[in-house]
Amino acid sequence: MGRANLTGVCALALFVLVFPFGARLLGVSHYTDIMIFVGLSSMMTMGLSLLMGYAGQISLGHAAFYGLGAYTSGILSAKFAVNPWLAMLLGALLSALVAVVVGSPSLKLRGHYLAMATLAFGEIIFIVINGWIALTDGPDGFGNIPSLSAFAFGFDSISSNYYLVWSVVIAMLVFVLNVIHSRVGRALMAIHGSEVAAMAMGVHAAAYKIQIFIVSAVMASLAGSLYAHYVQFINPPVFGLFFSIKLVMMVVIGGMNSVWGAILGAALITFLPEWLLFFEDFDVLAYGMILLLIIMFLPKGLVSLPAAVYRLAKTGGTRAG
Amino acid sequence: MDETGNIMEIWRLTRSFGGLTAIANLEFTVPRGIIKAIIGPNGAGKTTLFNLISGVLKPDTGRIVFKGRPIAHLKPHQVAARGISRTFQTVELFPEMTVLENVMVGRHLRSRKGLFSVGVKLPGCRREELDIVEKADYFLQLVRLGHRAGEPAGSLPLGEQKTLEIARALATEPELLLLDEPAAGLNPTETEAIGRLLRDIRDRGITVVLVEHDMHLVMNVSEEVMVLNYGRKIADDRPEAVRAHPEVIDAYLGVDAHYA
Amino acid sequence: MEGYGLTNQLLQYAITGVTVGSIYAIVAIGFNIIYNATEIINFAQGEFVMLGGLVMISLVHSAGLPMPLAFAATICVVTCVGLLMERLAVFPLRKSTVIRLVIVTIAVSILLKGLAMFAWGKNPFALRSFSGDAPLPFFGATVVPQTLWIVGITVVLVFLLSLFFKKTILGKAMSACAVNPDAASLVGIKVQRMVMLSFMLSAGLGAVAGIIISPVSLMEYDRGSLLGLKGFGAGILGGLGSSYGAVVAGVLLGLIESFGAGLVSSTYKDAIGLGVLLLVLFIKPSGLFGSAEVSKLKKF
Repeated sequence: MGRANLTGVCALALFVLVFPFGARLLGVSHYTDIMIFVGLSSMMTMGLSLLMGYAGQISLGHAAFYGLGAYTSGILSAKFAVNPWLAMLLGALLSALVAVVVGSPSLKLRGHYLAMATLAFGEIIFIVINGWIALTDGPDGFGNIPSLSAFAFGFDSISSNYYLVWSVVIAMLVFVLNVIHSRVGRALMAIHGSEVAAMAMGVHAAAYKIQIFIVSAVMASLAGSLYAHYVQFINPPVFGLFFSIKLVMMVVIGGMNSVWGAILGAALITFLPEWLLFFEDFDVLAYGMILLLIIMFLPKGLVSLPAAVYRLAKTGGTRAG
Repeated sequence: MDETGNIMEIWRLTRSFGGLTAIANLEFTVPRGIIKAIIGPNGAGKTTLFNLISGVLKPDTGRIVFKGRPIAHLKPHQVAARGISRTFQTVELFPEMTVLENVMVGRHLRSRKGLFSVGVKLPGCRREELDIVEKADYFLQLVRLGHRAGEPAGSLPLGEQKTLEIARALATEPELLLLDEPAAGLNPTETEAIGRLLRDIRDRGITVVLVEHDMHLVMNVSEEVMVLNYGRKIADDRPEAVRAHPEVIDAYLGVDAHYA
Repeated sequence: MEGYGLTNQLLQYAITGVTVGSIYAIVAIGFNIIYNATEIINFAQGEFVMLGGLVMISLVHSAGLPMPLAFAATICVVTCVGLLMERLAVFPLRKSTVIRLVIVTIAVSILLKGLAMFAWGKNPFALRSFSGDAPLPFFGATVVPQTLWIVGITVVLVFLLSLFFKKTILGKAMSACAVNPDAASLVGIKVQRMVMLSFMLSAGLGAVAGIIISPVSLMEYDRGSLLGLKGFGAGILGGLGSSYGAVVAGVLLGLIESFGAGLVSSTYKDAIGLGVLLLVLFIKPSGLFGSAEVSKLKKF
């Protein structure tokens, strides 16, 4: 994966390791809880960045897979006493299956049409979750979801969930970086760069698009399951349209073409309410403004900011952006 | 294996777009191991023909037989897997990837590790990756672009971009190479270099079919020349015979045949 | 007597279907106009509808303006929003990638939603009906006067639009741009101005839709998304680029939804419409009246 990325992974692991202690020292120990959500979002944004930045496809319905994972885990473990790990696995399998069924026809569409199809799909899942009261308790949601446990150690506390979630994030990060720096990653970038040329070189574009869609769906599903077992209560609003859009926002703001951008974007957007006072009334407005500014003036995301500043300094700001 | 010594045979190929017939009842063969040029006025259907052969388009009627097996129904990546590679009239590089990485994509067919294997870095992945880099570098050196290996492909001048596209196509180790206007936009020196490269490719046993407007290059380098006009074949012979062919001269009447 | 009751029920569903379908039709036409001029799908189209409703409500109920004046003023305001969107967000990115354009219209839609949430809060509002609420009998079912307004205005709108595009110079210029922008600019039509006008026109249309529907169903800051999505569905169903198709498809979609809600399940009412959208996209993206060749040629 290259020396730079390997260093990055180690640095991130170290940072994650000491973060809770630092947070407590600085008197913001609730940041650890927020970081769990950063981690969950990162799992989803990393998958989305593979899909959007590398394979060049858009998904505006990814919260649906988050929801499928959370609800499968929640329903199976809370109502049918299934082992939480097994429930998580089943959730992932369900999401993979749905991804194949929905993705195969969708990924034949392009650009705007694909965006709309994923939007519609996400909404349909949300409506079903809301409406199938017998199974999901509808808008009220349900609780009593057991936490995960391994060898008599229960992941009950904020700390234990924090380290669990971030272990998974780092494992996924390594996986994604490995994929990017392989013939598969190059095939994806080729599809994005020129699909017709990629096909002419023997790259089966449709197959790769579906594979990446499935991978990103499974990553979101696992995040959903971890969410359910951590918060131990789930209800529909978390998994709606706006969260799907938020995920895309995180990817774009952080940097579509970079897995690091995905994590950065997740961290920024998740911490935003914490840093902007009176955020409640302005949150949607703020999100819209930030996304608009980034996509217009810094389309490669914040991760490209150092390079952009460097270029600007070199040419004295005379070159067109 | 084909007994006739032809690597490709086209039978009664037809393709229309709405009311426009781009290729009409076209039939020709490509003997193995030669350089064959396809020429004709603009709009004669030459790029459509390439798109039909490489699987980008499906013919309305007709057969395309490659190494004795029909391929007209195949998708582009399957056609590539059978041993046909190509370049494009408007250069279709992967601009954000480096020069070397572009050629490495050409090694896709000659490598196998899948998504899961590379993700968890199963044993054998590193070895395959090293092999890909090594072979890609070989083809890059072959076209004398080794010094550009680390640069973004989009930053190269046009002539080098076209050469890079050829290197990428060669990296698939094809048996048949389709080149769509490899010399378009190049100056005489660059065109001559392309000519030498084409002969080198042929000498390695690869059959070359090229679409070209540069008559000098075509006459110099090809063993067979086929002339298309309005989607129909009006000549298919050795270069000297084609040059003197009355219908060919007619089709080109008033058109300056030397593009430099 | 039971048969009589069922017929009434079905007729009632049909009336609801045509009513809501008219709205989908107008939204679909809005999508069409922008798509024809730019090949962009405007994700903020639904927000124009939402703004139309909310601005009208404020002008009528808070500012106390008489309805016709408020109607005109609302259309002006929302049309300006459309203009601003085109000038500030779309025009600068006109040569950019599809992903970037998709995201910019999404960003604007979020921005507009945020502005609405800021200005009006999260509560739904109602608009006073145009001519009262006394239900009128209609072959055994009942029709609210507003329904007649909705259908009537939709019909007039479609008629005026087709006159505009076929008979006026400006309209013909816009059509020309849609078909062949290069040729259009060669004969002196300023393509950029046509794009600008298309956004303004779509915004104005969206506003009308929002205004006429608000008395019947409430309006709130986040109604735009679902309305936009369904309107897009109607546009696709009819074949993007075909205005008559949009009307037929809009009404069809409204009817499917209404009968689905009444006969099958009202919980999943929205899912039905969205399901239709997905089916169209998967099976025949060129829609009922579009041609497959044309839709393949359009680059998305």
